[in-house]
Amino acid sequence: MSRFVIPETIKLEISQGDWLLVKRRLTAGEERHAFARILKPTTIGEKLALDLERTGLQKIVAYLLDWSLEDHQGRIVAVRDQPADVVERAILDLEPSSFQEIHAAIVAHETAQAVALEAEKKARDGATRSSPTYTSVA
Amino acid sequence: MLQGHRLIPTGRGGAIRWGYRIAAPLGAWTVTPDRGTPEAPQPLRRILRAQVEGPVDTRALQQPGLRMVVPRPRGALTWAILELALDPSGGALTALLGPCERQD
Repeated sequence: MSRFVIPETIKLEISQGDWLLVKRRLTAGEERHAFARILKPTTIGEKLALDLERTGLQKIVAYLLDWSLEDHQGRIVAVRDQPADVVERAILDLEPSSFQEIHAAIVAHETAQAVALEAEKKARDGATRSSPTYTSVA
Repeated sequence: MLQGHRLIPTGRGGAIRWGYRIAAPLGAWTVTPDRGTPEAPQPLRRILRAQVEGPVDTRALQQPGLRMVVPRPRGALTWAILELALDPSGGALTALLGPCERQD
């Protein structure tokens, strides 16, 4: 099993018949980028501090590729291939309960993927582990 | 755009993608159907010639399962990439495509 992430997608169904198209797993780079974006800008010598306004938001931005959400005119609010700041603005325009629902769906997806990855690792370790080879001193 | 009796799909934008990841962002592109000649007919082949606009992800470009993806107002048009050659300059590419599919 390769240690590299394959850029696969998963469609998550949410309420009202809507869906989210999300990354199956984040790469190390995507995860680190998302984490860096929840830190407040600081100057040299200043303590790092979390930007609470961006906590949760960055997880959604990191995972979300597309969705079915429409505006009041019935037009899809475009997030596919949009820059992160455009996606952020669209997410922040949501009703708070919709934001929470999307965040919860992505957290649940992330947790399920982490469990699946651990199971894959265990299966792989079990399959490849063999008894050590000792050299003879004779 | 009509050339002779054939409809030649052309466009600007889109990308060669490996999953959701962009392997090569495209500028102007043309997909030319090729059936050979009346004397030497061959199964339909679709040949993509495209300008590359932006950085190429060479690792992604070497993966199996690449697709050309052209966004539409709702969904996208996609083609499987069967063979691909990147111009040595990195500024253009040529590819053999599978049939066009609609992605919602």
